[in-house]
Amino acid sequence: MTLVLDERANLKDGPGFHALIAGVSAYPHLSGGSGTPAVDSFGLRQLTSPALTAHKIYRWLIEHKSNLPVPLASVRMLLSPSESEKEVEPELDALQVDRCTRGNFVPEVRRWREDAMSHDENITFFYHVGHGIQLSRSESVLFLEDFGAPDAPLMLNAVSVQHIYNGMAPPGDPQKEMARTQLYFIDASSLLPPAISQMSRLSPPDIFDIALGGLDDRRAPIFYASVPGSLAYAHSKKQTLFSEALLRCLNGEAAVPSDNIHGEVQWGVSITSLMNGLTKIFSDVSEEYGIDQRLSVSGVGSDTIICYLDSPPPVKIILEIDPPSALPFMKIEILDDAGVSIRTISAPITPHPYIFDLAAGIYIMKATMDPPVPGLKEVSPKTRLVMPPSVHWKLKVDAS
Amino acid sequence: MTLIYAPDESRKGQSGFHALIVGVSDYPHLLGGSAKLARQHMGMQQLSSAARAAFKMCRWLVSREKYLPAPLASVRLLLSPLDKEMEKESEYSAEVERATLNNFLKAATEWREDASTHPDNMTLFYFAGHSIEKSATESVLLMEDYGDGIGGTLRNTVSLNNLFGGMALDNAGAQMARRQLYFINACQFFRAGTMPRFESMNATDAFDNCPVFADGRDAPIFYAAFPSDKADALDGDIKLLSKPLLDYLNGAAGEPLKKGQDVKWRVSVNSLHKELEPYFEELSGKLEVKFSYELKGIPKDITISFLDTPPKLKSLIFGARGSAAKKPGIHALIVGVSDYPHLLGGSARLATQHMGMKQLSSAALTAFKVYRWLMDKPLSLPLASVRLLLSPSQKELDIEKELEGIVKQVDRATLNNFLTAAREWQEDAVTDPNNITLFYFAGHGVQRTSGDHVLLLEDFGDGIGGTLRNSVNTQNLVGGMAASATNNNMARAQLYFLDACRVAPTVFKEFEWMNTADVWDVKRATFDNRAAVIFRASLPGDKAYALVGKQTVFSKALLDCLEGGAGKLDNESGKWYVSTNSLHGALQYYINETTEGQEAEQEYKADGVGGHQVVIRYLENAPPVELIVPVEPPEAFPDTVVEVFDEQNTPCQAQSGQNESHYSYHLPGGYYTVKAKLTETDQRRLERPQKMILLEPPKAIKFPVKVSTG
Repeated sequence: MTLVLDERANLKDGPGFHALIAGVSAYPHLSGGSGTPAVDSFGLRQLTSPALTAHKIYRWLIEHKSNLPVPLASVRMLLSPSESEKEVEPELDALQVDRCTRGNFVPEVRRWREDAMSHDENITFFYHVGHGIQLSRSESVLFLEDFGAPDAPLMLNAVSVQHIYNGMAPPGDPQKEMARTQLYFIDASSLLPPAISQMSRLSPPDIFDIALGGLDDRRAPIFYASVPGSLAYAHSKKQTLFSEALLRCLNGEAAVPSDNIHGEVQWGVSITSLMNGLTKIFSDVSEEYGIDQRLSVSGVGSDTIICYLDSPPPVKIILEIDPPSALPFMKIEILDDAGVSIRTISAPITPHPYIFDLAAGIYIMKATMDPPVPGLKEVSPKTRLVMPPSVHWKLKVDAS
Repeated sequence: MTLIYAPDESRKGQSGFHALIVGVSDYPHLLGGSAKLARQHMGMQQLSSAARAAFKMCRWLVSREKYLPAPLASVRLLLSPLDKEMEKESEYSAEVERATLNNFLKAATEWREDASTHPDNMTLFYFAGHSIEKSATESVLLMEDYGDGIGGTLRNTVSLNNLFGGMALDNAGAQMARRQLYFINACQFFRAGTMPRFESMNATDAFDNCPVFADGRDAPIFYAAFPSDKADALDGDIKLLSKPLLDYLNGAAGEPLKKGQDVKWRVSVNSLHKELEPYFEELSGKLEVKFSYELKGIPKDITISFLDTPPKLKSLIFGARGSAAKKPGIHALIVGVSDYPHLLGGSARLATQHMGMKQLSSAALTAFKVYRWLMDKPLSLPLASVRLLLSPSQKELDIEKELEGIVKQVDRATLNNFLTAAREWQEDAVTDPNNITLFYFAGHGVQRTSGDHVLLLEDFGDGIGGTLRNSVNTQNLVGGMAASATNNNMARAQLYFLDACRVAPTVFKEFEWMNTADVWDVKRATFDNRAAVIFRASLPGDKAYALVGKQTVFSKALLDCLEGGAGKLDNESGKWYVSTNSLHGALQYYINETTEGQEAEQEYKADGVGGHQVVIRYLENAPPVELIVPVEPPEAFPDTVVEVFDEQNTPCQAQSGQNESHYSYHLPGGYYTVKAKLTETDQRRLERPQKMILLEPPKAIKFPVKVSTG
């Protein structure tokens, strides 16, 4: 079974959200695998988190289906978990999904494409996590479970990201429909193994027959977990850093305010805000772990919300007062966008920096010194839009 | 004969331009010379082109007679050429006296006498030959008879300090020329610990000098040299120093001199220096020989020569190569092609595969507007260089007069010119990883297959080679700008704006091979940590449109964005900025706004490498934003008072002529509070009597005030 959610019958000719998720941890023909070793494994080994990652993505979609812009209509999943992952997450076995071999992957991608073609306003979602390499500057290749199988060309059980992307382009016949919003997440390394340069031409087999380029008016960003020539990292037996960052973003850290049809603010994650959010989290995570993992994005066009939030996301506020000599006398009052006082921080402000949470939105911070401190001026109210994930709010008290 | 250009008798007493030019290639007493080798030859040898360089300088001066800042009055020339050095100089006469010490002293004395007849005189001294760095502050110029064994080692040399000092007002009198130019092109012996102690050796004085206290001259010395121990490797070729000097004097260092509405073109001390400095820096790198170059003396920015036409600058229209490398900057390459001679309506033979494409009406104008914008607006980094290639239509030239002037200065957007400009642009980009590059192309574009984008240059379809020979593939262009082990200093922020169609003509289905020209060889992918954002004006398979005779839709939208339409408020600093990410949010809005009411629909697309944001500019002021406050239901409008206050609680003025349902404001972006109230007797209530909002472009912010009856 690959189709782990099927609500297509309920769409009633309306648009739907069609997801295809693939996670490959077990590679029998790579080092440490159970099968015949590949002729050239490029030094790649077994992985410990892709299947878990794919499962987390699947869970998120199921749990947030009411937040998607169109109804969640189908979720296809292919998993090749490692034994250790199955121990961590029993549902990997319980779901009984097909393994991510070429034999299973190709027909599923084609069926996913058929679903995508049911309505122009469909949204498609493609998430692949596992081994990948950069075949050239413009071509990324993903390895399926049976990559490196004996007696076959090396790339037989690999797929080209660009081929899938191009194959999902709107058909030349304007009468035929195709999802015009497509989201691609490629959670894999993008190294170019030196052995590749010794081969005259390596080419993964096609999945689709692709017509020469016609009008391609998709909104179809591809989010890559790594830039060419670099690695994508993971928390062993948990999930990849990319998926962690993605889910943090979708859960609110990349949320931006948008107007709904009633002229009211509704928070959601858009393509652009997701790009910004992922970039920021990547930057923080790289610093935290001492790695250099960078996001790469292509195919960005006009922006759109890809998931809504039920309420404004929480924001961590790090309040810092300068100079510290004002701390014993400083009283802070925070007003919301309606001018209502929602929080008071009494003097002395401690600990410093003072950290607290606010729901995302616009706030006014009023600071008073009681009694007035000689040599320091009164502080005028400060306004700012507080956006997730955190805001470093510095309050500078000028000398009088 | 030394005086080869004598003053016109009728001009006696009037100011004039007096030159003394000396070139020494033949040093009989140095290595390879015809006479007894000097005891202190210091490894110095014959020079292959110094006399010829001096002769060319002389010819230049005479040929530019009409364009000098003072009428040419006298030229003195001393040459010591090697036997066959002057063979190709048909105007050279062997009667020109040789550059021995005695001849030099005589010529210098006469030159000074001429120079000191009028304060408006101008002088030029040029020396090409050997020099010795006598001390840290003094160089001596070697005459032909250096090392003849008579007297001290430096007897047949002249100290540049002595010569320069002797031309000061204190020494030469109050009538001395106030504008003096000195050019030294030398193969220089540099001091080192093991070399002779020259401090105790004396050069011959050209003039008796008293100490100079107040020197009222403008007297720059352009001193360029290469080390004599590298002369072998450089073939003793002074041309390496003299040729660029003449090229720049001939116009390559031209700059506009504005006087009211009039623009005159000239080469000045500063404009020449701006070119020579990076040139020698670059030359040092290329030849792995340390060329020394210095502008010293009293370097005031005086005019050296006027130009009859604006200089042909190739593609580099702003900035200086090399010198820009000292700090990170923005390097731009802008290309605009409207005139396609081989497409429909063109002036030359129609391309076999013209694909139905015609002449364009606004691509060059667009490129020009982008260039003007870059020149006018402060960006997040200093603008370091702008290269511009233009192939305008006649209509565009008629519409935009300034374009005509610019077109005279820059090359046309042919393949060869593009490749050269791209190469130079890449070389500049690789000077600092913090550089930002900007590429803008406006013209025809096509796509062969999905994901492809080919940009057509002016000479597309010229019938030579394959159909796409005179076109470039954007994947190749962008791929070649990646950093690699050999160019690790490549700009890590790169902006590409491809303002062209991406239609897929059916002809591509008929051919198995149709290859574009490679801009460069692209190395295999390595770690590519650029933020290279490619904004394409059209979707794959779609068209990009233009406002005929004005500019493209995409460029208008882009400039609207850069002007502030894509402005975002940085809450930390309070600054407004435009970045690659804020462009994403605004470009389509302005494209739609520009095409509103037209039949054309256009959508942009962005691709690229790396997702991190590049700040393109900070805005001087908050961008304007429209705020619309409708009252709902509209019947409640007469009873509802709406007030908007800025962050300082100052009330904002609504636009006059309100209709009967909403208030409208045009405000600078920022935080505002909207307050609404009903008349005191009104029993209805307001859902949000007070709300703070953030106004950011591009679209008008609609904030409804809702009145409920409940």
